[in-house]
Amino acid sequence: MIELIEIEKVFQTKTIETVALKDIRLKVEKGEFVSVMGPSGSGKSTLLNIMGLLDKPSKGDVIYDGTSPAAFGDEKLSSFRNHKVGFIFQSFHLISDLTAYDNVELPLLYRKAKASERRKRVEEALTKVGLANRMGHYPSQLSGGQKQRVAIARSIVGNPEVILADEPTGNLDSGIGEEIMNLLVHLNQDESTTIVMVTHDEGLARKTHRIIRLFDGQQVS
Amino acid sequence: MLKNYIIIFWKVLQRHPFFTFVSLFGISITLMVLIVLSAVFDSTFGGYGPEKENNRLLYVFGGTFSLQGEKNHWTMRGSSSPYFYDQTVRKLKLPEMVSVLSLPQTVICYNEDRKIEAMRKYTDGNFWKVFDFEFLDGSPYGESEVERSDRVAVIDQKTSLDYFGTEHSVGQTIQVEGKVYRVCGVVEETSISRTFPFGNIFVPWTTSGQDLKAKVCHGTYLAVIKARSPGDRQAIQAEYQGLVGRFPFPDPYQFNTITSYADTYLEIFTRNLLDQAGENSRIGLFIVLITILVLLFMSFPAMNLVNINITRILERASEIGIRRSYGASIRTLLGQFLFENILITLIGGTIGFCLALLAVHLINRSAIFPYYILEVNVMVVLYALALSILFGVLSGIIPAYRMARMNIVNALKS
Repeated sequence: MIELIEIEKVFQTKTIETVALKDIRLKVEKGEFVSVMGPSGSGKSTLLNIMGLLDKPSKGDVIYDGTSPAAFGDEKLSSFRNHKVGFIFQSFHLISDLTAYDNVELPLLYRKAKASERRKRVEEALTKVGLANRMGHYPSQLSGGQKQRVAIARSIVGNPEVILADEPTGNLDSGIGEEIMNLLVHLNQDESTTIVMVTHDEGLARKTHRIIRLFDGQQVS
Repeated sequence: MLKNYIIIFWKVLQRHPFFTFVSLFGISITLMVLIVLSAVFDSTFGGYGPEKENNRLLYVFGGTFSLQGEKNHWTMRGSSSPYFYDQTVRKLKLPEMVSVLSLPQTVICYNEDRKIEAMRKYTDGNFWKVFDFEFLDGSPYGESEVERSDRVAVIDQKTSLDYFGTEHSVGQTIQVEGKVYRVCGVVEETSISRTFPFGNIFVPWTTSGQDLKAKVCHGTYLAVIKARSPGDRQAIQAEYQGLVGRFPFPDPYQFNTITSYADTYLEIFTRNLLDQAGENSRIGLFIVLITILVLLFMSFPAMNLVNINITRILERASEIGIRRSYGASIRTLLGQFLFENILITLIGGTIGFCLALLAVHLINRSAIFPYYILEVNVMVVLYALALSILFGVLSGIIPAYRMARMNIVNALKS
């Protein structure tokens, strides 16, 4: 359902040209749980950003179910991203001035969903991640694991086609990291959610269906 | 969505109280000044007080009389004589009616041991039909009293209270520079900014003791013309110019040329300001100049607010990245930031409006501007609201646009 065709990404400054990704070709099928591994600087996050339409490739194309959003204007691209993709970041990236409820509600606000529909979905999402009793809490009142659960709830609330998780357990201790990974596995197995996860942890990667390895911007397996 | 924006807006305000204070201070002071100036403008040029229907009125502030000769050239500018108006204004056919009135003159009135200073105005009977004075007591004198030179007077509320201690003084007598007048009416005060209807004591011009038929050009009189409808004013102005062109100079060796105009208040002002003679009073130019001045005046605090907004928005780069990741378009983010900015300028505008009310109250009470009455009315409130929103848009659009277009990945990293 997601296909990357000959993706290349070059970062250009006035003096230096850095090839972050070169000739990446891969497919992620619906319901797959794929992990992306590689040393630091191998292009993992860049790959995820391009896959999530947060960044444009220098060459190549990203296809979602036969549709290429390359030529989309900003409005259409933003709407496409809102419906197709959910993100989980290493640093959680919750808006500190909003409660857990308001953070999870965010994608639905940009979809202009009705208030009753939003409430129903937000409560469902927070219940799935086990935080139904923390809706009114602010991020500063939550533990690291709880913050990441809120981020996961935010990523699934809009029923996106794919969740892109960039080192979701990177800032958590192993115990909590394990819990978060189990949650993602559960979402994949029970809800058939497609997940692409960047990780440094070999143990977590082995729990996924497939591992893509990058080295110096190129796919080695 | 608005609830989300309002929550964020409130939290951002609380994050840096000093920045918030600086923003609100700049906005409120700027808007206070603009609102007070709007009140001055409205008080001077708006349809207000006795000139509610000023869209039907034209004013003649005398003229410029000149002698253009081979050996001698001179010019005198100012108010004119009843003779001049008899030959011009009173011969107009198009207006509904016309009135001739004097400039207000300071007089001393004595009431037993009390000395009261007031501004007296001589008028004809039509004066009360041309203007819409609000009578608190009694009624105006008419043309018959004027013809009989009856010593009757209409006084304003302030004079009635100062002289008699009550605003119900009809029937009582008032001594004005040795002459005794019977009060027939009491009217609401008018601001001195309204030169034509302004006065404290109004009496028939036939009681002045002057020779109103004297064939002279200069005098202390003005004229007001009331059109049947606002659309007639241009035709009346043209008719007036025709009569001025045919004015029979009493002594062509004294004066042989005249320029005089029947103008709206604003036209009188722009003509004097821009020293403009001729058909075109340059109102358009005046409006352009005023608009530029207002925008320049607003631009300084707007630039200050732009800088503060840029700093604030830089802090929110991460939030911008998150919102963009989850589907906020550039236009949506732009709308959010503009909304927040307009909200803070509305708050500042409200504070500025309250400060303006206080300033207007102090000006009205001040001895520095005697007889000057300012009012903050609905039009001024609407001006203030429009200015607040314009201010919010001006100061918010640049930083909002810059930040909305920020690269998503870089925003998330910051």
